[in-house]
Amino acid sequence: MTPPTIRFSFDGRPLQASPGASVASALVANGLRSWRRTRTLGAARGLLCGIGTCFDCLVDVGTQRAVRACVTALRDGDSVRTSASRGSGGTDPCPPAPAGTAADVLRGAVLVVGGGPAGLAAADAAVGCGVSVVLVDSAARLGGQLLRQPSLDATGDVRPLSRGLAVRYPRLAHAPGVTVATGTGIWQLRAGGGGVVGWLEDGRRIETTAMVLASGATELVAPFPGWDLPGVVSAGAAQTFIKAHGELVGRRVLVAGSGPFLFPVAASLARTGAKVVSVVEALSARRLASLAGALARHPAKATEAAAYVTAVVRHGVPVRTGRVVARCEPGRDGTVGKAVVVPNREADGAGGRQDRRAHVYDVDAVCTSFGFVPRLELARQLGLAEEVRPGQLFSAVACDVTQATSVAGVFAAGEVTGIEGGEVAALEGTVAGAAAAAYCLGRDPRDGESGGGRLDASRDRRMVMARNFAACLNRAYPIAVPLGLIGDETVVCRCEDVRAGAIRSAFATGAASAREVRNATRCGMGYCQGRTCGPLVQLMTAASFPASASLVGDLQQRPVAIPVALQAVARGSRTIGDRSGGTGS
Amino acid sequence: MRRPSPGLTVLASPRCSDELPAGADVVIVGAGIVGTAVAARLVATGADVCLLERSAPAAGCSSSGEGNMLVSDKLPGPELDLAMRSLALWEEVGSEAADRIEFQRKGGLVVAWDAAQLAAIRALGDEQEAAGATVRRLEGADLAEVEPQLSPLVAGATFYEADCQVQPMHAVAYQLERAVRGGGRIVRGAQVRGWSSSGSDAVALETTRGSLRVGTAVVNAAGPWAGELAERLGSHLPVVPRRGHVLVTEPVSLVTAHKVYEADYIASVHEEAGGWRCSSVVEGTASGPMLLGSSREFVGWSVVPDPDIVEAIAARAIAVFPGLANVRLMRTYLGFRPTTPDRLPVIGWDAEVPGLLHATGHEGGGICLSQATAEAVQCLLERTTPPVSLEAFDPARFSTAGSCSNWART
Repeated sequence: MTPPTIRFSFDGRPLQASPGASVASALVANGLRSWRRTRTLGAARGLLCGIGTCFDCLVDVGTQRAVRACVTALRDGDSVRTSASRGSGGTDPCPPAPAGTAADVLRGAVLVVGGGPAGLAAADAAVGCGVSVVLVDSAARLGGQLLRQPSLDATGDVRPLSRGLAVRYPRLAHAPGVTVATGTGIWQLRAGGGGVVGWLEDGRRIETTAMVLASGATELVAPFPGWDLPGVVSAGAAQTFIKAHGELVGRRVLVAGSGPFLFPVAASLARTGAKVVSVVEALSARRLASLAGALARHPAKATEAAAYVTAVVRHGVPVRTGRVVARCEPGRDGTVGKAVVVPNREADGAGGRQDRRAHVYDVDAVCTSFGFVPRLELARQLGLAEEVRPGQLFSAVACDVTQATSVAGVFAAGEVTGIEGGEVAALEGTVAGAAAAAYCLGRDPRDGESGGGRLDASRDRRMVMARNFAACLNRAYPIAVPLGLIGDETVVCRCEDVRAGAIRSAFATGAASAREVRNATRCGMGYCQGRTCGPLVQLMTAASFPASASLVGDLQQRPVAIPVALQAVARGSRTIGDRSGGTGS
Repeated sequence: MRRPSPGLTVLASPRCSDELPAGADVVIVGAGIVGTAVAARLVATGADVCLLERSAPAAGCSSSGEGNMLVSDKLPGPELDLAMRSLALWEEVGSEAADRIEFQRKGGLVVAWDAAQLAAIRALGDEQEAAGATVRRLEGADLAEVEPQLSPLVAGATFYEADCQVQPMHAVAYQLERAVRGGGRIVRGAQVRGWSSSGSDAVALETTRGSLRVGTAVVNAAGPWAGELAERLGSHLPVVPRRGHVLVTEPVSLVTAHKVYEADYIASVHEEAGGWRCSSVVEGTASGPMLLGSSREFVGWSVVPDPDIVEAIAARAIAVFPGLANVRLMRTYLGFRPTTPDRLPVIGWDAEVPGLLHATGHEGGGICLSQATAEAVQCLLERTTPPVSLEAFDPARFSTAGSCSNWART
């Protein structure tokens, strides 16, 4: 039975939303694009990444201040208010304490961090090997981004494992020894020879013998003048809105950036009823043509690609290559109204007989993406060795053939080990889960028995094929952020409103690393702690200091992986209320 | 080490110079708060100064603290005298550059939980007053008026209006700029390996960027690495790193306008128990986030935060300000305080090695003490009498046998 419509208010206005809505999807469905003012410039902000990583969509709900609208479920009677980008504190009424207590410890053999394709496959494989699993994902339901599920099933079920995923992973649905924790993230993680300990946002702890890190990737959203207007969102946000809530981020949408992801997003938008005014790809058509050979060798991928292209063509969406969004301009209400698209001077092949006109599009949303960057906060807490994979630009967790990392008992799978897509992620997850199980059982992970020896050969072949295709894709689509478009007035750090000019001044006065840029400008010191701007600052630093070109970004050191209430941090401390100072050894 | 791209002429300006000069009269090692303060002061007198920095300005302890400049936590005697002199000098700097370095005279509040602690902080306040500090005693309604959100369980407090705060990285940048504008040179990426053994009469330092001749002095402002540097230069200085954690919260509306800390903070500075100690320190910043400390431990250079300490700091902060319970922690960072066996700085000529002048060992008080330290260095170089006696800070006190045995930690 479907739950009734949700009644809520925004800044005192009574509004309604569909069941299963997030605060963000409810606001957007009601025609609202901004619900926040930044602390420094008072700029209007709304949705950006849509998956809880960028902290741009902060909103006040009830007694909670500055919570992410995109991951906060809307409840009947909620009083939603514009956020001033500040937390609760001082004289604000204190929200209820987190649900967990210090005594709540989730125990198991293998902790799986992340419930996307890699994490689900890892958990499934580990359970299949007979060990207990604790599976954690900070989203309300399992699936990650690629397998994003509707926020509630047709039956109104909102449990972590949707009906669709339960069919795909029956072991996770029915086997004993599977503990699932969703809607709460891990803020601190430690692993070594003695086991794995994780600290959850809600105050609970996790203790296991081994773990699989499958924390995925974030989208690279490149700045341009006007990218901070409400209505400019990441391509992933558009996709998530459709999959989770059946909502559109806009009615007249430009999809722009670079990468294969632009096509599935454009197709989803068009199928769901948006007018996609164009798909704008920064790289030249010649670069993309190099994919033809790869597609010929991977028929399944060719079929998938053809489906996206067909959908785009059928809905009359023009595709323009070698072009970028030069700027966005506001409409009457201050949200995005126009997008100006120009030839991409920084692309190879941008010259000669190319059409040099600028195209101006009337839009109410722009969806942009320049590829993906591995999410390394927890990897860095664990001290895992990293590497830059051939053909990729950003650092990723280094693994061997069993998906083992440099720390004993810690395995990793999926995009966190390198951007290679969902099929590789799932295959790696299976290997990692089996290897983690073998580790717990005292067996050698390379022993085929642990993972089901008979399946190894075919899985290995599929892995080789999938990785081969991913490599072709990465070669055809190198990260192509047009840094030249970033004017001095363009905001780079959205959390702290730090403009590119300030960053360039920092370079001119001696800053030569992302950390020094942060210290000089506050770039990266806001809520997202450099998650959004970090890759951009790294690219800008590398452009100014090519000899240093290390993109192991030091803006991503993360002793605290996500913001966590102090009382959840203090939970379990013997010294709460105790008048003596803390001591320990 | 990173070099600027040759095509970017804007980086050729002297302020980012990577060229090691052939020599300098005074070579300062370490571009932290102390090193840059010394450099800025000396160039103003016309001295020929070269500042060597192996990493980046303020990359060490100077960027890992809270920017505090306190009278309140200094024991009467040479430490308090140096702090009061240094604060007076900071007031001058602050009046010129307040906005740039975020200089605030915010005041410090020391809170006691019971009668015994209250008696102790009042007694300390008496002694500090005798030395010239201004101390208010607060409890009950007076305390609630000064600090409305303080826990009602606090028995009483002492308030120091002269306690200040500054943004330490901006302060280092400001001092560095003054040094460079005055003709000083800064060389990045230069780590001192030792004395150059070229065999000529000239005294020279060997660095990773080459060697440079030294005229009058080498100033050791290497902070927690000052002990290592001293070894490389043929001396011995018992300065070791003492690790601290700082928790940074999200921006919040005003919780406190002051720096507030627990009475046992001062004991935590001076005691020598093994393991770790945590004593709450709470303050806001101009940009919104709150900084929560503090911890002290000797764990070498370990850069992995200790979960038990993070938990304790959070718990103690909530005990002092219950309204912090739902404020979110955003990040933590670690700092390594340059620490000596008697917790007093080391300011003076090395007892054995000629031309080596130490300006280090300030434990958690480097930001505050930097100005008076720079003034003292100038006096030592000019052979004039400094306003504050440096006898207690003399490096020679460590040359006597057995003086540094009772505190070393593995």
